[in-house]
Amino acid sequence: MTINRLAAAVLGIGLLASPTLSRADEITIGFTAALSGDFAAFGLNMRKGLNLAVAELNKKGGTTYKIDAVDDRGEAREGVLIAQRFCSDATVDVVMGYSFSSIALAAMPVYTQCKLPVLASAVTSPALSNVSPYFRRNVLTDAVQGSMMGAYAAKTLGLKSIYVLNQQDDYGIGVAKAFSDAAAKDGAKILGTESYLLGTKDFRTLLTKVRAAKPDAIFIGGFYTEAAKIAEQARALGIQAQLLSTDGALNVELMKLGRGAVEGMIVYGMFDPAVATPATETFLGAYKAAYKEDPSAWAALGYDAGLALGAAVDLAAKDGPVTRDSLNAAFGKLKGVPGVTGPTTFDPSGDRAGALYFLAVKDGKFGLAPKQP
Amino acid sequence: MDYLGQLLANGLVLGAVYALTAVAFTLVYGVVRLVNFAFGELFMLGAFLTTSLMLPEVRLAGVIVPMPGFPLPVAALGAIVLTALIGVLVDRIAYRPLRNAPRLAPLITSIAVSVVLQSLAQTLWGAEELRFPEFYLATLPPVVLFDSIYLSVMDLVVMASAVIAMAGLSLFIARSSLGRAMRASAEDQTAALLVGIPVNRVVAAAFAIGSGFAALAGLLYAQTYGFAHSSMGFLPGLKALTAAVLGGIGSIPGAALGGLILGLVEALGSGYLPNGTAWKDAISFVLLVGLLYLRPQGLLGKPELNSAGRGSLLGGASEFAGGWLHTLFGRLDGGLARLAAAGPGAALAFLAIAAVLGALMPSDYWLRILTMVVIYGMLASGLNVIVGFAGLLDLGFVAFWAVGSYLTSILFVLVLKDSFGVAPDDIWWLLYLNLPLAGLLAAGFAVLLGTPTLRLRGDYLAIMTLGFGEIIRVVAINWIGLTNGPMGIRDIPAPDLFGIPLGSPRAQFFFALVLAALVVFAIARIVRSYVGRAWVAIREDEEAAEAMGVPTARYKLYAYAASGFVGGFVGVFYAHYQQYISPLNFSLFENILLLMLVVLGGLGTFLGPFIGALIWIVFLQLALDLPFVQAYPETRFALLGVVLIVLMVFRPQGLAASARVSLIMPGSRAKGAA
Repeated sequence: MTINRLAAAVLGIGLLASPTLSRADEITIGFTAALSGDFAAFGLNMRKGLNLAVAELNKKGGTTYKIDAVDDRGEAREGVLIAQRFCSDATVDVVMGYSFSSIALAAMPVYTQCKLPVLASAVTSPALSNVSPYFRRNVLTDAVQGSMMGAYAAKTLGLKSIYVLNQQDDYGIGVAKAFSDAAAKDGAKILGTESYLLGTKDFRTLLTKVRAAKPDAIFIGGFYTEAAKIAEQARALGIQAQLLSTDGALNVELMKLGRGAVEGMIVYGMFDPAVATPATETFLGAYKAAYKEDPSAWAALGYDAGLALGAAVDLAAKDGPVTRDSLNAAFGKLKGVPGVTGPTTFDPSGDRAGALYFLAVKDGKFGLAPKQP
Repeated sequence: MDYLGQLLANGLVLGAVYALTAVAFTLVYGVVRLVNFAFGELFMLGAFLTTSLMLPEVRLAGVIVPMPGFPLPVAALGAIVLTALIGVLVDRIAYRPLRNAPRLAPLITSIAVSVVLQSLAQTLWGAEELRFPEFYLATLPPVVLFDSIYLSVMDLVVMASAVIAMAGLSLFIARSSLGRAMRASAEDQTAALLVGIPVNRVVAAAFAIGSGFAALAGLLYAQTYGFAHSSMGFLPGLKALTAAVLGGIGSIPGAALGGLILGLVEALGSGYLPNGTAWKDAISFVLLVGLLYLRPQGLLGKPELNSAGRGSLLGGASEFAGGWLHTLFGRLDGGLARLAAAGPGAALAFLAIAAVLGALMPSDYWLRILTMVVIYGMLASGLNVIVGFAGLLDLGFVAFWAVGSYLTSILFVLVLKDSFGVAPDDIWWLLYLNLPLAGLLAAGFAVLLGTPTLRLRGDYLAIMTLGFGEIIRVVAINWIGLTNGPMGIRDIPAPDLFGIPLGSPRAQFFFALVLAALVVFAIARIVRSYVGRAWVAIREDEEAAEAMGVPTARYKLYAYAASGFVGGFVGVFYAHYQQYISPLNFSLFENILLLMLVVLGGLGTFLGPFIGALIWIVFLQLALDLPFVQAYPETRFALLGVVLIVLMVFRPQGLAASARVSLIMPGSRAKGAA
């Protein structure tokens, strides 16, 4: 709470500053993600996007929205406690956020028990599909994203031989497998697959092995911290192969950490500021005004989740007061809610369909890759 | 050939960094017989200070602070000097008051110092990695040997600095008068003091040099991998300690050799084993455990170093005789002692209070927190058996916990549900069978792990158990076929009794409470028996116990088995309570946390672990609502560390020392022990 108020005050968004207004209804969003620790960047970006959406919704009048943010520090043990905290707090109507699939998976049984709807924006594990009637997410699964990337690498980029490296967790294994299957189907040869633990610093030995296989490209199924180190150490060992990575590497920190070595690396994401359509203009303008930086894909997804929530609340409000149950039903009925990552409609499995952008690092910035499918 | 050549080159660079840090461990151990776990953090500080001094400005705790922007050599020198000063300061505050304290006290403070330094670094420099700045040497093209072995110019600088620094140190120790004083203090401190050597100043010098070496290693590591981060010192610190032990702790050539071997083994192992990179941490710990088993003194060490753990791990007195803090601790101790003297009555009263609390608590959220308290209290009780009663420092206890959790989860989910399609509801009774079964399995593991450690004492024992704990964790992550790896196991059914689901937070709380009562009752029975008396005798003085005819090896194994049993037993419930487990649940940090809970509540007492868990977990949750903690979440852990250091310095025998189960009859205490 206080963190939010601080952030709001600092950033000049008066999203909590209207307690005296008489209002029809108030929706409290329980927001949880890793907001501190090594992987805080995803959660912080999501929250920036969501804050913006909430400010917009509040400006519109009618229902007011507020955010109760709790840091899960990336620990599954905290996940269950936080879920119970939101469940027990009767004012919380919906839960958003989540940086890690494992934490969302650990928390879902608790939410299902207390019938609290969850709309997540950064958890991509296929295991979350159909996990609960109360779970939805507006991001594509690893399986879908990985196979799109695999097809792109083999068909569009025409890469013939690829070495696959992945982070040893559900995200890395899932995305690497989908990538390898799709790339192999489209004619690329997978020379080998090696995994590394999250937090590994020394990739020289791994890359020595990769260098001996002489690949056209290296696919890194993991996060930006490791992707930057792999890129840097690969270049230092004289490996000139094309580097490919995932939405986990889609973060400005990648360029801060990897500098020259990540130049030319291709990643994917569901949003890119360079592809500004009229619909995204307002978002871009507002985001830049508020945070003095370009929004990332995670901020865009957080923003779209906020818009989807607004649409669901409006829908639920038509049939009487908004409850956890009516809100959950309304999420299921949403049809093509416009957003900056495309329209949002949730499948019965809780997933959503969407498109991917392929982005390349050029002059220290993400831009649309020269070749698009 | 190119492949092998490149691997060897990689191994040499890594080995140089390990060797430099190992020197820090070995130097300080040689002089004061202390494994200073905090060297990993001094390594990290060296990296951060160098990086900061090289930048034009740094964001510290959210505030932009101008920095001098020195070139690398100047910044490195500045960082080494600063880190050396910090090292001396740490020694002055946290270790010097404990020179004559029980042997466990400085080990615990050194772990606490690590936690404090790491949390403070994260508060100051933030959670993201800090990029190591560009400098001239790093922009030079790599040196290519035989067309295929790539070494950057800085790699050569790393190796050269390691060689020069170590040669310099050896000369210094051999030739200078301070070096001679150091050797004398290492031989025999009391004798050195008698012939007029200012031992405290010599120790401070050892800390300064050791910290400087750690800082040098840290900054070289930071520039090699291009970053500084608050948790960067942890693993290299452990590896360096491993290297120091490999080479024979206390020996400087040994540290160099150990570092070199470890670097090469890691590089070759991860290069030639299938999926070796994921397994490489296990490789070094297997090497450590194997070596300690065959040759506990290390390659170049002297055998007598292993017997350094002479005397009691817990007994003895504090150096601070006066002060209000001392009185305060004394009162607290007296109160806790009376509580313990009340015996079963106090335990039953606690149980009754907990039951009433559980029955009336309206919030499910707080019920879950209380359940967590009971679980951590039980786990800490299991650790307490080995640390508090038998006086053996165990840093691998989480492994037993993991064994229990994994046994039940694999049986219920991976075998019965996924392979045979048996619904968990139909086999609810299996949970009750698994509780003792997992206990026995974990006890078996504990004996297996305990056997090779029987020859080891004090610090060596701690290091070896730490190695075991890490091996189990790496196996749990990488053996995906057995444990489902980092994905963890989910959909573990909630407990059920004759078809009555016990999944609600309230039912789970009472389930935990019943288990806790069983655990405390069982531990109390054993401790009050002849087995417990033997444990206490070992704890107070192992050699005296041996001389009095206590078969120490057998009773140590009993202690391992009992502690393992509790770990496995509680692990089963933990899995069904969380309904999801992954290797992340069983990290070394959890073990440190459990150890701290035991110390906080009182080593060697029955209810202490629960009191420690109550204080810490409730504080953690309440602190979530403090604005300061929300802004700097890491400070919670720094606070825990500070509390422990204060506790250890002012009361090294622990909070509830008088309440501890002892050998002496209650009445004779006033005359007898110190």
